[in-house]
Amino acid sequence: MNIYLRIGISIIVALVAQTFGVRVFSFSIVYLDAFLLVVVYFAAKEGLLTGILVGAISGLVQDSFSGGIIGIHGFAKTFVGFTVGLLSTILMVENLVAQALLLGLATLLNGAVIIGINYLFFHSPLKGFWGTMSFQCLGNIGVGAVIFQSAKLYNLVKERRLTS
Amino acid sequence: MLASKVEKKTILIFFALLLAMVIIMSGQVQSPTGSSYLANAIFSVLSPISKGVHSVTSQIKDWWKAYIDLREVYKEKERLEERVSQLEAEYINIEELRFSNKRLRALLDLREATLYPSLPAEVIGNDSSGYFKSIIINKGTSHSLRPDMPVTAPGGLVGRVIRTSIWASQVQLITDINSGVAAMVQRSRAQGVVVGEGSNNCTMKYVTNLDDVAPGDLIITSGREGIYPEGIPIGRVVLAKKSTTLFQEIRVIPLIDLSKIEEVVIILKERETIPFKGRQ
Repeated sequence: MNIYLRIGISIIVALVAQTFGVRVFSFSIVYLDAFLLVVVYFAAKEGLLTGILVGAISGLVQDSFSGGIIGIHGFAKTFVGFTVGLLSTILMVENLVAQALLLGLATLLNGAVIIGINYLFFHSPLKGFWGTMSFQCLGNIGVGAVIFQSAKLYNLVKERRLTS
Repeated sequence: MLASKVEKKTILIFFALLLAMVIIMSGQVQSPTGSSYLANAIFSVLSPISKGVHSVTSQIKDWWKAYIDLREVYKEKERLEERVSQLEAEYINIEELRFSNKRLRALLDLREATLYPSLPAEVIGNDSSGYFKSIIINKGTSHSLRPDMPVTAPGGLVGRVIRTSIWASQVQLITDINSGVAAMVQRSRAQGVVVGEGSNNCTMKYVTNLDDVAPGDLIITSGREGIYPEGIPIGRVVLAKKSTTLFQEIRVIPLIDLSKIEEVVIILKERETIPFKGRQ
C-alpha cells in the first residue's frame, strides 16, 4: 500500500478512536494518544523526514478536534516525530523494550511541550497534568507495544510469503 | 556524529514546521465567527466522519437494544398497566397543583424561565487530547449555531460552543483549563469567575476574603461576560478557605458529570458586546 495512503488511513483511524471511540465503548480511552502512536510508528519505521511531516499533519488534525489552541499539538507532535526519527537512526528500536521506552519518552515529551506552550499562552497550570500524563504513558506503552509488535509480525509473515 | 546522519534539508523542514506552528499559534487569524480559519477548515472537512461513525454505531446499538428489550416487554407491559391506573389518579392531583402554580406565578409577575430559544443536541465525540476538556455535538451552523453560544444540560451549565462546522460543533466544557465563566454565589451574591482545572473540578477565583461563601453553596452564572445568561446553575462549593492573599480559595464541583454527558441543550443566544467606555 502506498505510504501516503497508509499515513492518511492511520490518522483517520486515530481520530475516530480518539474522539468517537470513547462514545462507542463504555470505557474511556482519553488516556491513550492514538495520534502519538501514529507519529512514533512512522518516525521509527520510515525515518526522520516522514516522522516530522506525520507529526505536523496529525498534530494539526488533533488540534482541530481539541479544545486547546491550534498548533499546540502540531508543535508537540512535530517535535516528537523529530526526536523519535533521530533516535531510530542511531538506536535499534525493533525490540519490545526499546519500543516501550521510546513510547514512554515520546509521551513525556509530548505532554511537556503541550503543557509548556499552554502555560506560555494562558498562564494556566493544569492541575491534573501528572495524572493525565502518567495514565497516558501507561496506555500508550501498552497499546503501542501490542500494535507495533503485531505490525512487525505481519511484515515478517508477508516477507516470508514473498520469498517462498 | 548526529549531524552527519541527518540531512540539512530535513533539519530545515523541521525548523520550518516548528516556526509555522508558532506562527499559527501566536497569530491565530480570527474569523468573523471568532475562531481560527484553519481550525474551522480542518474541523469542517473531517467532522462528517463523526456523523458516519455515530449513525453506524447508533444503528448497531439500536438493534441490540431492540433484541434485549423484547424479552422484557411482556413483564414491563403488566407492570405498566398497574402504573397507569396509579398515575391517572395522581394526574388529577398534579393538574390541580399546576393550575394553582400558574396562578401564583402570574400573581408574582415571574418571567418564563427560558428567555432564549434553545436547541437539543446529542454528544457524538470527545476531545482528541487528554489534556483539554471538550465535546463534539451533532448540530452545527445549519442549525443556527454560532461560537460562544452557551450549552446546558438538565441540571446545569456544560460550557460554550467554540468551533462550528455545517453538521457538528465543538463545545468547551466548564472544566477545561482555558474556560472561564462569570459566576456568583446564589445565597450571598458574591461575584467571581469559575475556571476549569483540567480535571473534573472547577475553581472559583476572585472572591474576596470578605465575601460570604460556604461549602454547599450553589454557584450560578452572573452573565457579566456576555456569553452565559444569568442564573444557570454551575456547581456546588465543596471547599471555601480564606487565604493570605486578597481572595478566597474555592473549589466547585459541577452539578453535572461532564465526562458522561450524552445530551445537551444549546441556548441560541449570540454573545452580547459589553459597552466599552473609551477614554474621555
